[in-house]
Amino acid sequence: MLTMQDVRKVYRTEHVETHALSHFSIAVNEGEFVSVMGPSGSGKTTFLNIAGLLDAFDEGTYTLDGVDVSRLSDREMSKVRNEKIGFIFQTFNLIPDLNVFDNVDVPLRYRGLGAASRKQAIEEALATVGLSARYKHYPSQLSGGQQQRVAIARALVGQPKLILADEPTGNLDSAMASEIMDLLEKINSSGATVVMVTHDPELANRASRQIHLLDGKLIDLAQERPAPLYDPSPAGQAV
Amino acid sequence: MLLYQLRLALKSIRRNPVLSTVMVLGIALGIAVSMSFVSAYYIISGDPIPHKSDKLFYVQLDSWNPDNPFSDDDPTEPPNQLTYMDAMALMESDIPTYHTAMYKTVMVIHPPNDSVQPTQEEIRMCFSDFFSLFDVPFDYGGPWDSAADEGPEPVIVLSAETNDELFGGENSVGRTLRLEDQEFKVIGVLAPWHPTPKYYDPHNGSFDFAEPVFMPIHWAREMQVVNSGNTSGWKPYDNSYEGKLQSEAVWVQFWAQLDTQEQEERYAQFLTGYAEEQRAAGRFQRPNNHRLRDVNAWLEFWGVVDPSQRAMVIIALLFLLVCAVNLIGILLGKFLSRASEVGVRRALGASRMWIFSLHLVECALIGIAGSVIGLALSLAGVSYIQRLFGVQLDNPLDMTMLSVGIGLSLLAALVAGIYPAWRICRIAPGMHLKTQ
Amino acid sequence: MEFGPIFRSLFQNRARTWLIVLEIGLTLAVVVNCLVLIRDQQAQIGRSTGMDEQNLIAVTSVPFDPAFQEEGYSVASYEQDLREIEAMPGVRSVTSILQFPLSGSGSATGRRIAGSEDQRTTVPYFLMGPDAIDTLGVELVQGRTFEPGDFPDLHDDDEEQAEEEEDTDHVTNILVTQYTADKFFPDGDALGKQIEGNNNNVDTIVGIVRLMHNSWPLGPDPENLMIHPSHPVNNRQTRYLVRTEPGRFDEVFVALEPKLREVEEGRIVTVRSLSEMKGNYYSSFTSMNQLLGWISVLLVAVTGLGIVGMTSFSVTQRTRHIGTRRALGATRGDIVRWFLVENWIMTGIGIAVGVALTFGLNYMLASMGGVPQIQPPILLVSILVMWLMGLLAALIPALRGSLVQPVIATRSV
Ligand SMILES: Nc1ncnc2c1ncn2[C@@H]1O[C@H](COP(=O)(O)OP(=O)(O)OP(=O)(O)O)[C@@H](O)[C@H]1O
Ligand SMILES: [Mg+2]
Repeated sequence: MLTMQDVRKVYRTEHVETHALSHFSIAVNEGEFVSVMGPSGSGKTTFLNIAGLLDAFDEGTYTLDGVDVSRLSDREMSKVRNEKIGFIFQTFNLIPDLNVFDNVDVPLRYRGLGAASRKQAIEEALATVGLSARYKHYPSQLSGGQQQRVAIARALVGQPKLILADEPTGNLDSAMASEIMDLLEKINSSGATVVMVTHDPELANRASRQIHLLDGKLIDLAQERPAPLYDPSPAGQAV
Repeated sequence: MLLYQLRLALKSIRRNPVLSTVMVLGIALGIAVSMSFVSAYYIISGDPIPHKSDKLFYVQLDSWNPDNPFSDDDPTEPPNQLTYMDAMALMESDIPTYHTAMYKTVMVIHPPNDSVQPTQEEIRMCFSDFFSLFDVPFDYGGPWDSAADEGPEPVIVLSAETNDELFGGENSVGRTLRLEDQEFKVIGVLAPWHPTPKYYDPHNGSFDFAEPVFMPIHWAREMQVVNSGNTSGWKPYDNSYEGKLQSEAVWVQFWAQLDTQEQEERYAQFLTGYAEEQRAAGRFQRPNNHRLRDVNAWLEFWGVVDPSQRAMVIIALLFLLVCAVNLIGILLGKFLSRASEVGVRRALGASRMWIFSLHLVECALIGIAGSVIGLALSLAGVSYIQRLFGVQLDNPLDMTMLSVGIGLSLLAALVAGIYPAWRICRIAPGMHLKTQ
Repeated sequence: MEFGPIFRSLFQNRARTWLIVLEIGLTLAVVVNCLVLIRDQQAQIGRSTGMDEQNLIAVTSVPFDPAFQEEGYSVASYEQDLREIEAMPGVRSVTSILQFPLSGSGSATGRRIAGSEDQRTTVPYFLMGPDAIDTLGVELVQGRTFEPGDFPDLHDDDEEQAEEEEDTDHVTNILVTQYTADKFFPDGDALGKQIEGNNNNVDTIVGIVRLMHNSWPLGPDPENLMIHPSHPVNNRQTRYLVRTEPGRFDEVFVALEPKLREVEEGRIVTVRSLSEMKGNYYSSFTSMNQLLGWISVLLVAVTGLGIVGMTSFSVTQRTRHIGTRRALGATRGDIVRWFLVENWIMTGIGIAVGVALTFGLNYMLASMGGVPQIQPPILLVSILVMWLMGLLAALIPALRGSLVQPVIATRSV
């Protein structure tokens, strides 16, 4: 699904050069649920941004779903983001001027679908996250957990192959976090690949594979550990 | 505290230099356009001689055709000017403090410098009281005395501009100037004087400049010069010069200064008496109908202010309104675009009042900048309007207008700022931390 | 297109939306009314005066040489002037005249149908010499022009008779405009009829001019005019009207003063084109139009810049949403389109409100007098301009908005 080879990302500011990613290589297979952990500043968000085509990188190659994306134009990248990727943000990033329905509608709008099929998809997505009743609410009228569920509905409404989530539960309590995880697992089980950044080891353990980042380099725990069957966490057993 | 707010406001203004300029220029333009129009209108429609406009009276008598009224539009209206005979007869009265019959004519002026071609100029023929009556200011010399009104002495008064042109602006009192075939001695030079509107004779161009030369009225007779202004007649008369003077044609204006109520009453009686006398002598066959209109009544009667000028003022005020709406819109956008920053400040303990006044300080700064530039532009605007309409004002923007202008623009900016500032100060402290 | 969501989002930002709507509305109202005024005044300036005004030159001669006071001198000089001007290359014809057309100052007198007991009505008149019709360039629709016999004898003792009202009991052959002819004789049979002034001086209408403006084109009836045959010469001032051959105006214009001063030096000669006199007469219109034009331009500029400003801040405020949209797959074009459509809707509402305000303002100004009705083409053109201006003003900030990087979405500040 997603293959990065020797990717390098350097942030240059006036005074310092930050090597956010260096010689970074990873391969994520279709249908996997990957959790990404690592200390603050280790490059997790940077990785996700590049994976989601939100940001450019300096060196290396990145193939997404068999396509070398480093050569795509801005327009083509937009199309890839729209059709293949669903993004979930730590800060939800709902558009406050739009109600729940219109927020979920946003990615579909860029596909040129008919009104009826859009409506159906939105209703299904909202049903999946359990918010059918609140489609007319505005983001400011929702709790954080509800907002994140709307954001998830928005990410999955276009049935993307890859869901990228950057600390989707970072702003939520553990019960809510667990619910969100359930949702992500549901999406994963319906065929989408999920890559999720989290600081919570418990949640991370529920993923089919965990990777660690340290100073912009990858430490893939899956290669050291035999199988998720031995996952010691209670959440892991619940799978 | 205020200093801190001032610093923050300045910083905020500097952060969007282009848009801040747009805001300042917008309000400045609004002020300039409305100020210059309103002040132009104020001058056009205002009282040209406020301290005595209620004491100066334009005199009308009904000497007109017994068969037809003077004006078809208003049959009760007497002729708008006097016959020469009547004007001279009224000069015999000693009731008014000052009074003058007058009319406009043209004469050939031979410049003192022979190499310059003679020119034809307008001359106001009047009595010496003209200058006291209308408070005409002098730079050099003064008016001729009442002896010269009838006397043989050839004297003239020049306007400041004419003196500049003919004598290079120096004191020309005592110098001589040839008009037609007669040498005249300059007895006085006016300071710049541009009564606007030209209320003493709106018949011939209400916004024309004052005449360049003033001359005792009897010289016209001496030189056989007829008037060059509006003449209306109803009875044929002998075509000679004297014939016109003796005719029933009206072409002479007459002003009297009546300081007291008592004077006014006595003068009205005098006019009635004169009319009856004339009727007895076979003239004045219409009902007794004289008019004493003070300056403002006279201007209103003439309809010096035309409706399209009023329309212009409304349009100019709407312009200011658009500029204010514009300012409100930009300020609102600007303030709301930093809602999250305000949210954080509120969360950290800033009171609503503090946020409100912080933003008002920013509006006030924009208002001050706008009003300073706006006033400078108003001056340019007023002089542009003056040039455009060929009107010259002695005092285009006076101190009251100036302070009203500054106050107005500041007020406009503050009022424009109230709503956006109120909106922003009501941002809930937590909200923008939560949703972004 | 995303009308629905944009509409709902506009509703979420009511204050901003209404301010833009109000601003556009007011601007449209003021601009349309200004343009209507300008158009109306331009039309009055531009209407036909009936004369060949482009090729007419007005000449005034004011003698100061004492010689002019001598018996017969003025007349001799007058005749010589006419001869010399006529002979100048480029001159088509010349006539003498007492009152210049389109100048704002002239003469008028009372007339009624001869023999009737009607009230006299005021008729402006010109005293003109031979060749009047050809020099003016007006079109004669009935009757004839002046003939030598129509003129009083120039070498009479009473040479100043031209200056004022005509002699008593004297019949004069005159020309009138169609307007004046119809005014007295609505049945169209004015030719040959007579009208009279005070003291029984009677005029016979021998010719009718289709159209010609008098000295006061802005007066209540600009086409009301009669032309009396005369030699308007006296020792204080004589005036000529010169018509040049087409294309030779400039040449004649500069040659006239030297020529006349060569003929007779002791006088002031003033040469003005009729177009200039007309321009002066209409100068308050021209000035007002200039002011109204400036106001309109400035107003549209202020509103345009205002929209740029408001949209800019709205872009800044929504940087994060733009990033999010980009992350969700919006192309740059989608972002620009969003802002443009948003603006288009606001401008649309603003124009709708503006049309109502336009008529309201027009009604109000018209009730004060002096503002004509709104002509639909002006309204349509203004709407188009406002609409384009709105789009253009939004385009700049929208383009800036489209440059927002998708990564913005994952940054928390
Ligand atoms: N736009 C930027 N400009 C400069 N440096 C940046 C930029 N974005 C990230 N960095 C730097 O790159 C490094 C990696 O940042 P990144 O956001 O990927 O960390 P992270 O692993 O997501 O951390 P956290 O867990 O705190 O979110 C950090 O050292 C950060 O300072
Ligand atoms: Mg991060």
